[in-house]
Amino acid sequence: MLLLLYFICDCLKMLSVIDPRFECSICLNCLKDPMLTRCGHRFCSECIHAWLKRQSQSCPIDSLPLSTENLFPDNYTKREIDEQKVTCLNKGCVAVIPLLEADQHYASCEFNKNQINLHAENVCPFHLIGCKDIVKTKSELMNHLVMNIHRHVTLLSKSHIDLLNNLQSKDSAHSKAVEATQCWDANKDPNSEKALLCNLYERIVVLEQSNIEKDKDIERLNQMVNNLTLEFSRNQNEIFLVTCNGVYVWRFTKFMETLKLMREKPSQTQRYSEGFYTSSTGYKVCGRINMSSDNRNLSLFIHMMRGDYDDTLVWPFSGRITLSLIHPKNQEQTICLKMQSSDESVAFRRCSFGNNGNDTPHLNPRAFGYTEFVAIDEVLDKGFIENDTIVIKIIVECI
Amino acid sequence: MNNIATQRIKREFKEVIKSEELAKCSIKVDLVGDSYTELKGEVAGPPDTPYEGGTFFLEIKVPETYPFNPPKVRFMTKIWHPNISSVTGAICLDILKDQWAAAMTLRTVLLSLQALMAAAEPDDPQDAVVAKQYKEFPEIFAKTASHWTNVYAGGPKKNIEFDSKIQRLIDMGIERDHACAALSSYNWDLERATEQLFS
Repeated sequence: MLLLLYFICDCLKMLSVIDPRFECSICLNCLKDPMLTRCGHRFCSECIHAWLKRQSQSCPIDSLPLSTENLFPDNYTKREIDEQKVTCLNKGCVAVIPLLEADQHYASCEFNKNQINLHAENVCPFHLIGCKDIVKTKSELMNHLVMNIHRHVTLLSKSHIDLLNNLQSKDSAHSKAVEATQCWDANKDPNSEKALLCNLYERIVVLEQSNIEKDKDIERLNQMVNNLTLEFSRNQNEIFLVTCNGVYVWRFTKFMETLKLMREKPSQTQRYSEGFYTSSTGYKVCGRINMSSDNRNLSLFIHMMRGDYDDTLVWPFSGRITLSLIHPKNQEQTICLKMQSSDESVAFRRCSFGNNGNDTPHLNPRAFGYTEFVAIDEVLDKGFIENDTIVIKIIVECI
Repeated sequence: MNNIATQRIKREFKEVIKSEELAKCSIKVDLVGDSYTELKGEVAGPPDTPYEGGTFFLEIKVPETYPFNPPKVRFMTKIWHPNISSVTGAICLDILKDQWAAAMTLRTVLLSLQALMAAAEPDDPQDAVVAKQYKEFPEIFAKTASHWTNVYAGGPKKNIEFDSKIQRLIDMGIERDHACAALSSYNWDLERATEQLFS
């Protein structure tokens, strides 16, 4: 590798030897028997004649029309070149050679060949990588080597790094070329193993990609199914509330917690049931529970709500309302109270009020029912609570 | 091989090694094997063109009559360009044909190719389909050339829309390069490309 580097340096040196004025742009060598064209360019006689023998009758440099008649021997330049002498750059060689013969001389210069041997014997072997010391005898050389270990190692590592860089740039270029060639060749020969591998690899990438896409699809579909299930159960509940024919079972969960809240803030804590219809095109009604003002009883009311069919119904509402607190185990202990609507009560009028607040949308603010429906002690003591839940049944019948 | 051709190539090598373009990584020449008859060129896509960022490899065959006849050059890297065949990589460039001059070198050829990439001549096309697209739908042409640069020459601009269309055809069993070529030829009209591929 070092020798190669050395060779390249040498080439560059040689190139710089030739003055561009004396270079033939056809053979890129020093002009031999220079000929001058009509357009003012110089070429070797042999080169320009060979060029004009081909069909193109034009100057190789500016493409102007040119024929052999327009060529003149340039003896002035010939003499100038003859006068040009260069000293051989090889160490030890003292020859002064005509420029024209420089190439031949370099090829055959004995010092060029001997140089390597010279280095081996009398010159520091690290000369090639930059050690400039000159040693004459073997013992001097040994001494030099011992004294300069550190410098030599530094030189070595530096040249090693240079070399690596050089190799790397070559490698990367090479691998790119191979890739490009494969790309091209894969087209030509689809049966070759490489092409097959290449295709398989591409296929894997494609499949992985589509796999990821499918996973995403599945996730999206799952989400959709969940949403639909939720919506469906909501819809089913709504359908039930419309078609319950005025019989509504209110399962009041978290009763103890609510009771505690009612005791702390009796005036602010009331609970409404969902709105339900007396028939599929009937009145919309909901139930309400809160603490009575004496803090000992539960109140149970119904409210008329704004429904979808209010405009087709007869107002005020007229009918029978049954409120029951169901005893989960003993039917006989169930508390059941019935009442009749009264035309005078504002509570049965059509609900024409706006939104009364977040908790009480679209309902008649006046309720109808019992402020002392059942004593709280009775609820707690007589086993009406099961799983922290009480069950209230409301039946609204139209007459 | 005749002496003058080999000698010249050797000297040209040194010229390219010395040149500033090599230092800027825009052109490069390498030997293929030991002979000087086959070489491998490398040209960087010129800046501010759809080829920017790509590295294009060239097959260079030096005839025995070089430099009196031009070297035979074609693109090994696939490229979308009106004056270069998208199928074979053959180049339509006057200096590689009748306008060749003996004073030209590998370096000037590579630089000319780079110039050709920067300034196409659609009126003297090698690839009629590409040239038609270049004239009628310059925006699609630029996108397509840029996509080819990305796919074949390691260019930086990925086109997700084109990729997905190619993928559609691959999923139908079409080979990637065929899919890309067909879509490019039909201005990325998936339906027409499919029609052509299956007809």
